[in-house]
Amino acid sequence: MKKILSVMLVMLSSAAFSQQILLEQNVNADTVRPAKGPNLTHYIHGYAGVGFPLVTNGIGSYSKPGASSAFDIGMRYKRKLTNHFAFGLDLAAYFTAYKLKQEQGKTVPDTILNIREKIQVNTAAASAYFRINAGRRGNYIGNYLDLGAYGGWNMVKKHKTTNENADGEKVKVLTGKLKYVENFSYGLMARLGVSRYALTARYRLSDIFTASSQMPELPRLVVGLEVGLFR
Amino acid sequence: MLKYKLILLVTGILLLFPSVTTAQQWMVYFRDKQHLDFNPATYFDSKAIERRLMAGIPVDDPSDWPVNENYVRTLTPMVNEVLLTSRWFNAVAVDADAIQMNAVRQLPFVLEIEWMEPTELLPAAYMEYDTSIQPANTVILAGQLKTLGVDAWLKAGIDGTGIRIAILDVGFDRADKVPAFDHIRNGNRLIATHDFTSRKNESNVYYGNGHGTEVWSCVAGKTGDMQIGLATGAEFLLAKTEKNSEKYSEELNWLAAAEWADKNGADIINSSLGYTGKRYFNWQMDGKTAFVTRAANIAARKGILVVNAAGNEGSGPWHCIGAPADADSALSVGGIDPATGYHTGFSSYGPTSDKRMKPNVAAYGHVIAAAPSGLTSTQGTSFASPLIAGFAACAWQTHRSLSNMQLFKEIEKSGSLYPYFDYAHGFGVPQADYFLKTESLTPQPTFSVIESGDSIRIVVNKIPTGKASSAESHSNSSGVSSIETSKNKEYLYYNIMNKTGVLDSYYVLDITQPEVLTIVRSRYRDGETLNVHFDGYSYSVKL
Repeated sequence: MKKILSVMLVMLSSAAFSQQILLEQNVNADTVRPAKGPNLTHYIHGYAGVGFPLVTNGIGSYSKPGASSAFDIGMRYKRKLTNHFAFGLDLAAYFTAYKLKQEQGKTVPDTILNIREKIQVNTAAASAYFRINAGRRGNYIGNYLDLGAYGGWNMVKKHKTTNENADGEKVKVLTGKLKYVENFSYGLMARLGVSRYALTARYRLSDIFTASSQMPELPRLVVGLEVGLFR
Repeated sequence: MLKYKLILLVTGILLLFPSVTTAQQWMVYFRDKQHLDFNPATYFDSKAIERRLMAGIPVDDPSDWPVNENYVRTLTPMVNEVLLTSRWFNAVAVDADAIQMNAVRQLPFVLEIEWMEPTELLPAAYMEYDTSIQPANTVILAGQLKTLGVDAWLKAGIDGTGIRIAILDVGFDRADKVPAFDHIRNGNRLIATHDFTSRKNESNVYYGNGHGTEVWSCVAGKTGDMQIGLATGAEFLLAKTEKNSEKYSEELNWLAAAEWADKNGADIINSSLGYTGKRYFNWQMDGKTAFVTRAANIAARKGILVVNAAGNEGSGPWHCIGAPADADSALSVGGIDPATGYHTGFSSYGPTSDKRMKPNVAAYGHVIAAAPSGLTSTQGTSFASPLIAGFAACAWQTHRSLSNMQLFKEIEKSGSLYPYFDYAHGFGVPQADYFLKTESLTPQPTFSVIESGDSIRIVVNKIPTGKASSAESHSNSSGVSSIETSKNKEYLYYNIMNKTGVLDSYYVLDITQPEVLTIVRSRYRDGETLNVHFDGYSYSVKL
C-alpha cells in the first residue's frame, strides 16, 4: 500500500519519521494467505437475475409466455470444499409476475376479461446448493454447475387488473393478500455458470394456488440469466 | 416486450456458450527418450552451440534430444490432435477428451498427464495509443534510456552487437513496416519469425496486436537520432505466442517459442507476459508451480537470459508478481515512475510466495514506444522488461565470457540501490558504468548512523535538491528544441530484514531535513537488521 503522508510524528510507532513516507510495504501483511475470495474457503457476493416463466404443459396456458417475468436479487454464500466442489446458501427475494391471457375460457382468478391482468408473487426465499466446478483455476468463480433446492415465504400476493372506463380513463385495481395464493413455495433449482454469468432454472414443486381455489396452476418452470455482483 | 425478452435471453445464451464449450488440452509426459539420430550441429543454429560452449553447457544434452517418434506415432490416433512436441519436457501437448486420456494414461511409456485447463495469458499492458508526440513524451523518451546509461553505452560503442534476442509476445502488428526497425531490417539482423498461434507454422507475426511491436522498440527501436531501446545493434527472433481471443494454449506456445529460440541461438528472451489470478493463486508464485515458470527455468538452464515483466498488479488485488516472473532464473523487471524516480503504483510487488526477492531490477514503467501507427506513450512493466533486455544485451557484449546466470548476477549488482534491495525495486535500475568502468569505486558515506542507547538515528550529510522529473524539454514554435535531463531526486530507502534474510517491511522516504529517521531498537526482534540506502551508499545495522 502506497501512502503519501505528511508525517511529522509517529510517536507510537517503532520508527519516527521526520519526512514524507512515499512508499510503505508491510511484507507479512501483504503475503497473508486469505480465506475469503471467489475460489477461496469462504465467499459472499450479491447477485441479480431475470427469468421468464415457461409453459411446460397445458396448465400454464393462462399465463402469457414471455410477457411474464421473474426478477431475483439476493446474497450468496459459497463454502469451498475442494477446487471442484463447493456448497452454499442463498438468501434472496423473487419477484414473479404472471401476466394472464385475456381470452374466452379464462378461469384464473376469474372469468372476467380485462385489458391487462397479472398476479404478482414476491417470495422471500432461502436456497441451498451444491456446486461442481470445472477446471483448476486461480481465485476466480470459474465454470460451474449448481444443483439445489429452495423454499420461501410468499410475502406479497397481489392481483392487478387494468381496464378503461367509458371516458377512456385507465382504471387499475390492485388486490392484495390474496387468499387463493399459497403462503409458501418450494422447488428445485439449477445454474450453469461462467464466472459472473449464469443460466438459471427454477422448478416450483409447490402450487401457486390453494387447493380450495380449484384454479389451474401457473407455469412452474422459470429460466433466465443471472449476473453475480462482484469484481 | 416479449420480443425484447427473447432477444435478451438468446443473447445471453450465445455469450455464455463459447465459454462453456471449452477444449481439453493435456500435457503427456514420456518416461524416456532415446538419443536416436540427434546431431547438435544440424539441429542447432551455430549461435546456440556457441552459447552452450561459452556457458559450459553440454551441446549433446538429453533434454535436447527429440521426443521418441514411436511414442508420438502411437499416441496420435488416440487423441484429437497433437498440438506441440516439447523436447525440454519430453512431452507432447494434445487435444483430447477425458475418455481418450484414460486410454493414453495406460500406455506403458506415459509417465504423467497434466491437464492444461483453458486460460488466457495477458500482455502486461495494452491500451489505445495517441499517435502524436507531445514534448512531454520526448522527455520520457530521453529519460527511459538515460537512466540506463545510454550516453555511456554510446560513448563506448556498445549497442548489443553480436547478441541475439528473442521476443515472445502477443503480436508484432506492422513491425515489418514501422521505421523504428529500419536499421535492423536493413542490417539483416531480423533472423527469424514464427507464429506459434498458427497450426501452419507460419512465419508472419506482423498482425493482430501491436504490443510486441512496442516491446521490440523498447529493446532496439530508433526514431531519428534518438534511441528507444539500447540494443540497436542486436539480432532478433520474433515469436508470436498469443492471440487476443485465444484462451487455451498460451503456456504451451511460450514453451514452444522458448525451445525455438534456443534452437535458433537466442542469448536473451524477453517476455512481457504473465499469468496471474485467472489460473493461479498468489501462493503458487513459488518459482516451481506454474507451467510457464518451469519452462522459463529450463530456458535459463540452456544458457539463455530470460527477462520477464514483473506484472501490473501492484495496485490490484493480486498485488504480487505473476508467472513466469516468479522463476528464480528469470530476471524480473519492475516499473519506475519517471516523474518520481521510484516505484510506479501498478508495478507488481515481490517477494515470491517462498519469499525470494522479486523483482530483481527495475526500469521505466512509463515509456515512449513505436506503435504500429507511430510513436506513442504507454505504460506497463511490459516496457520496463525490454528496456532491461536491451541493457542486458549491451552488458553481455562488454563481458561476453559471462554465462547467462553470471550476467544475471552482474546486472543485479549494477543496480542503483545495490546491495540494498526491496520488493518494489529489486536492486534498482541497472547502471551502465558498472560494466564499463575498469576500476570499482568505493561508495562514500552519504549519511551517518548514530547509535545512542536504544535508538538509531539516520542523518543525511546533505539534503537532496534533485528534481522530481528526470528531464525537461524546452520547446519553441517548431517543437522541441532541446531536452535537459537532470538526476531524479534522491530518496532514502530503508528496510527491516528478519534473521532469515527476508524483508518484513520497507520504505521510501522523501527527505526535507538532515535528521531523517529514528529507529527504536527495543521494538524489533533479535536478529533483525536495519538496511538503509541513500544516494549510492548503503549501510546495515543489527537491531
